[in-house]
Amino acid sequence: MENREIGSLLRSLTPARAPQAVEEHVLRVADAVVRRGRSRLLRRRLLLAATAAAALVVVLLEPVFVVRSPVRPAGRDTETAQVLPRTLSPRSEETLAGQAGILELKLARLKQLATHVESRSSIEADLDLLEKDLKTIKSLYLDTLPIEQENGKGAQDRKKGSSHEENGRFHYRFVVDPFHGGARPG
Amino acid sequence: MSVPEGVETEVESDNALIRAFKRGDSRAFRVLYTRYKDRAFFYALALTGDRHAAEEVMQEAFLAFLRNLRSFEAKAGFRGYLFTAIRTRAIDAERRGRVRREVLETDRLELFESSGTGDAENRARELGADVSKALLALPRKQREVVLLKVFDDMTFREIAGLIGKSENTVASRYRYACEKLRARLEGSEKWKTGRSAAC
Repeated sequence: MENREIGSLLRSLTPARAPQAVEEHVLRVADAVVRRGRSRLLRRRLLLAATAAAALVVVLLEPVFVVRSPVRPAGRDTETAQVLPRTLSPRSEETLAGQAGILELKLARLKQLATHVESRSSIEADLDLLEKDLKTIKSLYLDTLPIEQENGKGAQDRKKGSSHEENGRFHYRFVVDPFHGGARPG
Repeated sequence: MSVPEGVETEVESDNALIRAFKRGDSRAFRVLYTRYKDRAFFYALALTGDRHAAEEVMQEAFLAFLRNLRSFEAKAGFRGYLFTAIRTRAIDAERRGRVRREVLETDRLELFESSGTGDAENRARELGADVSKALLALPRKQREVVLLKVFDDMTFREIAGLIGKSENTVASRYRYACEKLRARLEGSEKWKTGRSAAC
């Protein structure tokens, strides 16, 4: 008998097949891997989107507030900045309203997506903060937009939404949070 | 020596499936699993000589791939990765005593499928049992070379790469293994019958 014949003999037989139990377990794990991968991918996209949204909040804030001398109160880790409002032109207000509207839609979508992500608490917290920022901007500047803006009346009306007024000047405190990446009301 | 065309296509196809799986296509892994499950199990079974240990070894090898999916690099191809993982785990199991040669009931272990009740099927079953015994009686180092060469159509070069030995060593092991199988099977009445029938 030649080696070739040995090979032919062995090939003529049908090797034992893999048991079903192993298959079920392995495929179940594979499905879990795919789910985790999708979740990780979605999470990464959400983080990017949330970062972009945070940047947009900053952009929204930029024409609205003037930041004065950041200070760190004794005993606190976070920096606070005294923020003063700008007087906006009607065109800036329109732009602001448009950006806020877009951001609002984006946030709603992000929050919806976040419900599909495993271990999503940190993302949800970020999104909540962004939503809070947006609400603040809207309540301060967009929901109370004056119809008439004669004789600086708009600027006066805008001050109604301020957190507090001191010595005839508006003060709105924002805590600069290095982990959040944006600004949030303190 | 170049890689045979069929093997190259299979490696490319495996890599495409792995890429699809990494992108979240679970169907791709099912195709890959279906392609290799029987070969992987048979290899594990013949290496360990124990059905329970073979199931565990095979399962562990696939799970290792899934665990390391993100860092998986398909340089050697999926087949090479899988068979190396099975081999390593089978040797580990043997070293840890999970597969004790003295308690193995290799006389009863069937490496081959058998079904049907006719004369031809009965003869095939008996032949399968004889070949199982003959294969399991070989030293593992020789047995694995026969398995990879005959049932997975690997070249000596591929086997050498897989087990980390030279091509000459692999070829020698194959030759010794064939001589032992021949000596053992030539005494088998079923082989003689099957051979004459084939002739």
